[in-house]
Amino acid sequence: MKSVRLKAGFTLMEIMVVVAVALTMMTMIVPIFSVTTRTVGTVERRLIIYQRARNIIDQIENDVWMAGVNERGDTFNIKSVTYLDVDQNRAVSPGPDVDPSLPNNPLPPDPVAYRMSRRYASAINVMKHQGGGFRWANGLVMPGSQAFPNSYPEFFINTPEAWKVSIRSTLLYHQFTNYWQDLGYNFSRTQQLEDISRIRLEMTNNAVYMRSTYGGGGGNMHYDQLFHDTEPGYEIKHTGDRWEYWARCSEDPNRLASGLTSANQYYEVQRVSGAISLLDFDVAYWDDASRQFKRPPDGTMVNFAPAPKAVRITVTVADQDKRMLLTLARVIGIANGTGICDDENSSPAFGGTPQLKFQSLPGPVRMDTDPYPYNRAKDLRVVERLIYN
Amino acid sequence: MRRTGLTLFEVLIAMFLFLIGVVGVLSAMPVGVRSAQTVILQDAAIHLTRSKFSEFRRDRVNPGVDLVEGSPYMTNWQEPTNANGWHDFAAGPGQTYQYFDSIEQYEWKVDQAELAKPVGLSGAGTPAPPSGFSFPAHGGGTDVGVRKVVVVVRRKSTSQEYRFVQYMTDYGRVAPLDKAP
Repeated sequence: MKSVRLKAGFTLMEIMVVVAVALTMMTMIVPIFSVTTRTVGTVERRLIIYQRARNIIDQIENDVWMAGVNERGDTFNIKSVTYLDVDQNRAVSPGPDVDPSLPNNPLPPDPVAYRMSRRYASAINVMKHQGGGFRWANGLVMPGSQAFPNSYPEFFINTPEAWKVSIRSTLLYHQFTNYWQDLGYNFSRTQQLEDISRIRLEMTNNAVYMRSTYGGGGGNMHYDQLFHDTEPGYEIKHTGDRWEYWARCSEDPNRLASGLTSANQYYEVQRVSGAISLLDFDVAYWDDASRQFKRPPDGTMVNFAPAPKAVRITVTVADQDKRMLLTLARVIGIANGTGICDDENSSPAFGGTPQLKFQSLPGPVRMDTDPYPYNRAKDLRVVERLIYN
Repeated sequence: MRRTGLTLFEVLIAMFLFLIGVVGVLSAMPVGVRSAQTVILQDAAIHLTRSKFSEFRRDRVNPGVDLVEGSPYMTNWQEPTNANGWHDFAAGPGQTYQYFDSIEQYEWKVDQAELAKPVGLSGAGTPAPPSGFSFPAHGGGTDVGVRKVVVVVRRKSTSQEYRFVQYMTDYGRVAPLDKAP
């Protein structure tokens, strides 16, 4: 009798063959998956920080290239300050780090700038002509803020308007405001240096408004003459998160002493946009003589008149985990003049002689006493009392 | 013979199909990586071309004269051409693009063919402009000094490139750009 073999499942041999084949396949596939996943993760991380850097630089460029100076040279200045961070979790490139225990150690060599523990915290303060903005549009970040991009027409008819623009690192300006406190961004400089993901770029816009008829101008001022609170040495401040404080954000002591009335409380408005994470914000100016971009020495500021022909903005950003850094730079042209004033008093068309209005003074300059100390680096320690901590 | 299980052959076929699926998934990943890298190139190209246009305006170039390859401006004040006939970005110590990550990957040029076509004013067109008005005409009409400046940035020695356009006119330069530095 012929026996019949019933097959109810795999034989041991079949199972072993299948397992061996499966193991072989997994051994081949898993590393490929691993490498591919890691590559995708790295590229996506890189993509994110590229986009982050471009968003930041685009915003800066939109403000800075509208910068101008009036006939008195108000205002175009750059501050250059660095700090040493103590964040142990930042990504670093190979190379010698600077010693945070030495406060006055030299800047790291150029090839490793922005990579080591020295954080670049610059500020650029400019006067921006009004590009069109509706001050009281609802739904903006803050009441009185300016729509961005500047696409709404300004319809107040009395005077042209300008904006005092300050773009700075919160590492340099770490003052608290209720607004930032509410958002949880009120980190002190020490806290930012301990965790550099807390450093932000901050952009403030203060309206310059009704200046020719208000506060002593009497309507006799030239259309682009501005109050002295826009001159070198006067800081653009945060003053709080309430409109009555924004209204008095000028540092004009006469205005502050005279108080505010319902008639003038809206004459100055401040817009703060920020919460943009970045590690380094550095501004270099174009030196036409050497045809190079130059960074003011550490701890100094330069007031320009006229403005440099171009500035170079350098930012360093990181991903959320601070595992990857990216440093990018962009050249931004400044539509400036030559410094030769051609108004009704000095234009040949009116029988005058063109005059060079902006001149550097000889000798050492003290920011707090010498007038119009343009186009040279000033030690910020000399003007320490003017620095808003 | 009653078969209540799978044969080895069937299992191997199933695993083969599974393998094809895995390979398919894996092959899609490089596509995503390539797309991300393309966007990164695009981002970098935006920074770099905007910077180049800013340089041209900073130097107040006369585009139809100064941006021609071999002109004193391009020879003395811009980066020299490399082996590909393009320009590297100046990234040495103290130079403009020193602090731009991976700058060595990129090169640039000005499209000379576009530059050679003045943007003139023409009274012709369909429909014709009203009397006393003109249409802009690329490569024709009356030359008023306007040029279509096309800056091209690419990843070195590849066909991955981006082109950016600005119309420029003679700024009336004041710097002696026609002299060697």
